[in-house]
Amino acid sequence: MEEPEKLSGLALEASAVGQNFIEVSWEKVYSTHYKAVSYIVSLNGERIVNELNTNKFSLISLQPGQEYTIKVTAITKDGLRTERTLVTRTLPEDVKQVDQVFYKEYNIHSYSTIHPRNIARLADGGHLFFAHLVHPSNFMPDAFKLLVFYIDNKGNLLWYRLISALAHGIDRNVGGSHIILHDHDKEGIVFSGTYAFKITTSNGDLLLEKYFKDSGLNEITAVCNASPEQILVGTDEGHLVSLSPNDLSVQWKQENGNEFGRAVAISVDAKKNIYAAYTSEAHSSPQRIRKYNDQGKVVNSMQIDGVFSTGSLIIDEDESVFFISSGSEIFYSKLYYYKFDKAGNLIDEKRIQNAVASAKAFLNANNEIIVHGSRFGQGLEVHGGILTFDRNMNVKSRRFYTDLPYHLLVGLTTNADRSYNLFISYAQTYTYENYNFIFIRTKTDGSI
Amino acid sequence: MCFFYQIVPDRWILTISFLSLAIKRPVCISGKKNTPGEVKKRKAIRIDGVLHLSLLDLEADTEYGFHVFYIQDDLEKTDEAEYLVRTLAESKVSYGLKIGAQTVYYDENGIFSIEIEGENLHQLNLSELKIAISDAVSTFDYAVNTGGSRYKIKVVGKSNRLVDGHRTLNVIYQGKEILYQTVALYYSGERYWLTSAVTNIPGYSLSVFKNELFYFMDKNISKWNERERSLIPVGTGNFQDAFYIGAFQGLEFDNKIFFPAVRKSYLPQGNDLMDFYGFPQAYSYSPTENRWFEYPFREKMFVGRSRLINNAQYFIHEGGLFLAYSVSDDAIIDLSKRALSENYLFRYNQGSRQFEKIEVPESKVTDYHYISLGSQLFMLGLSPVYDQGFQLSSTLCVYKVGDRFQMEEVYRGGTIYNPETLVVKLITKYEGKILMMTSTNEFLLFDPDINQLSKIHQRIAIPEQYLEGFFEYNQKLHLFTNRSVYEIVITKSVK
Repeated sequence: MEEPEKLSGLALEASAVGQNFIEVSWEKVYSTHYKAVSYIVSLNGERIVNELNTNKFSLISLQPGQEYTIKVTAITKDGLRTERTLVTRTLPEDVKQVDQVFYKEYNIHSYSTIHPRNIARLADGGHLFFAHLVHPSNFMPDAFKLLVFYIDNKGNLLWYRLISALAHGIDRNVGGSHIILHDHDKEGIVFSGTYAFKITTSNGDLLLEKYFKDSGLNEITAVCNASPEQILVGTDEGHLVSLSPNDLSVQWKQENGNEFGRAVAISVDAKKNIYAAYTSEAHSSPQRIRKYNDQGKVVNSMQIDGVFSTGSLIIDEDESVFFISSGSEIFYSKLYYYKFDKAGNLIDEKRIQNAVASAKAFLNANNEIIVHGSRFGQGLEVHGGILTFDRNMNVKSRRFYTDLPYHLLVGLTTNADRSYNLFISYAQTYTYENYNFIFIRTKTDGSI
Repeated sequence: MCFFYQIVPDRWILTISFLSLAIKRPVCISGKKNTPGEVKKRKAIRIDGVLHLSLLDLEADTEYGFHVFYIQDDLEKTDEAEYLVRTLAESKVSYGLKIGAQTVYYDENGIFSIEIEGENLHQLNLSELKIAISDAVSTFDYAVNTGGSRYKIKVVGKSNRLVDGHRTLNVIYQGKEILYQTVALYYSGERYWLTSAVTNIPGYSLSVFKNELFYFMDKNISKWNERERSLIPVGTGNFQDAFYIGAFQGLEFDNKIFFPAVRKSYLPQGNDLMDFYGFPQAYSYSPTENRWFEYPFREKMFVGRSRLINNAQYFIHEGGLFLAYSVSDDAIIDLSKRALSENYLFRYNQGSRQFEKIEVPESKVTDYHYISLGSQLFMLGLSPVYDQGFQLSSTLCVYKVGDRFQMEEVYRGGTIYNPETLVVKLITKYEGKILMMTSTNEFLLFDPDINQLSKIHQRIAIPEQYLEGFFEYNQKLHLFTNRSVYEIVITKSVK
């Protein structure tokens, strides 16, 4: 006597969901009579596929953030069937997929190129950029404009603002291009040459233009967003200046001696002590770091045996001072590291080979020193890299993005999930030409 | 006796028939060939008198052996025969993909569709399928059954490069490439085609006068003799700038050939080279009189070579001859200043045989050309493209020119972000349209009826380095180059 035929249960689930697709899967359904079972998948009542023999199927070309009803029917040739219905949503447009790499290219015009100078990350994950927009000079007496633009946390370039460089006496070689945020990220302040420009982050409106020579200052070469009430700037004449973020007026000015040279970096600690590194183009003078109190009175002075025109100052909770620079020779990709104690005594000094040129350094949330820049190899070879060190500058990890075409890492910021935002410019080679500006959000381990 | 009627990588479905229907509970035992210890028993099911058995969850590409045993008269008996069957390898699962048509046509927006056909494509998990077509952005739809186990997937793409040619198509499923093929992509609509035929007329700059071809070489003036296929001297210009002037193409009007304005040097102090000036001067030559005429514009005099004369051109509109030219700063003296340029327009007075200045509205159009079609005058050239108040680029624009030379823009190429910065080198009218050449073998046609600029395609490029001027001869359009003269025909067709 034949047993009645039955089908096993159909356990349906959404196994993957994207902004434009839903993948459903289910346990295979078996017939007690070993009859072949096939499946029918329907979407919102419309049959999408018949005679499916796999137990995984994707509904495609869907709208982001929409609810869909998906029914899977298991059926034998004789018509014995069982079915399950699932109601689920696609991901909304603004949700970042879990640990996915984000990659996007940008340009403003087909004929212009973005040469990034500095980046500020907003609390909401958007970025404000300061760049030079280089364009043909056929139609204008100058060949570039100052460019400020905003990319939101979804990677959309929402606005850009062009400012004449020529009218402000700024040429392509002007040092010290900085951008900081103010007033709960509602405003960005760009420093270039002897000018600063205050811009709204919502739409790029120009709020204020400040000419520092009117305040007796020369070129601004270092900037530190010390607090909501104070911006610290250093000049090419070695002055340390406190500015009001509201109108960029001078609150106080500390005039160092001429031998101090140009300000390279400024930082503050939790106790509002101020640290400033200076470089002297006169090689006979040592490189100095000075510690000031919050009113600009000198607390102590530190000296570095070397001349570094760029570098990063990091202050930890013990008031230890770290100065990290890759020097001016880009092809050796060497890092110089100096550590001073609270009293200003040099307590450690290192040279790290096989690192990066044009290095910038900061302390991350895990108290690791992150150094990023570009490493130059043979010929045209150049790749961006990120190195992680402990606070004694022992290497914890090195990552170079050698899978990408030759490129310069021109900026880096971090996200709360420890992923990086990389901003790169491709090197133009005989076989690869791409003048776009690139934004890559890495996976949480920094890989792409 | 066993019949296998379906084998997939992880499952067998067997049909087993036995001679005796008295068998109760037939069971199959199976195990991997190399691990006979892993023996499992499976019950078969009797359906319509035939015993069916399905073995599930097997490993791909693995050999299994099995015996059939059965219960007869309450005794378990075993069939002595051992059956060996190998499951399919995953990689052998072929979808048999192929492209429906090897030649694919795209429309004026670059949009095209390709059908990929294959076996059981409905089984594909489409979120793991990627279809890439060279430079195109593509999307695809669900597989559609075309009969039996055959299915097709329609791929719709948009090519960013509206150029005919081969593209590569990659189909990647679950990270593995399952199809790699090239497809020929062609434009589906009608296009303009330029065909050229070389003539025996010699190259070099020439001018047409009463349907005869005049050459101004050095100080000799020659005329082309079609029958003799040779250049016949018709006199010497005996004019100091004849060689320089003759390097330009002249225009026939009022029984003369008019040559555009060039810089005329002027030294008021004789040989005092420090006291040196220049001014624009136009010329004409009368073939009937073998005589030159000059038209100086001394009021535009400038010091030395400080200014350039450019855009110099003639056009005939409503029976009148017009001369246009610009005078602009030479070289870049001051980097902070944009070179100044002034545009001038003159009408030839046949009575006084002089050019009379016409006041024209100020214009920032550069590299411009005037052309008269019927009773309508057009001007085209590069117009500034502004972004946030800065002129960062320029784009090709076409204007209708009114009675008072006011300009009405009828065409603007590109966008602020992607302008069409095309400098038109040569221009002529062709069957009620404006034919332009922007660089060697780059031709465009502007249709003033619909204000549309179209690219003109060529199957065979003109094999010359310099394409120098259009001219009408024997009621046919010709193009002279540095070496040869070509007869030009433009047609509109699909291919």
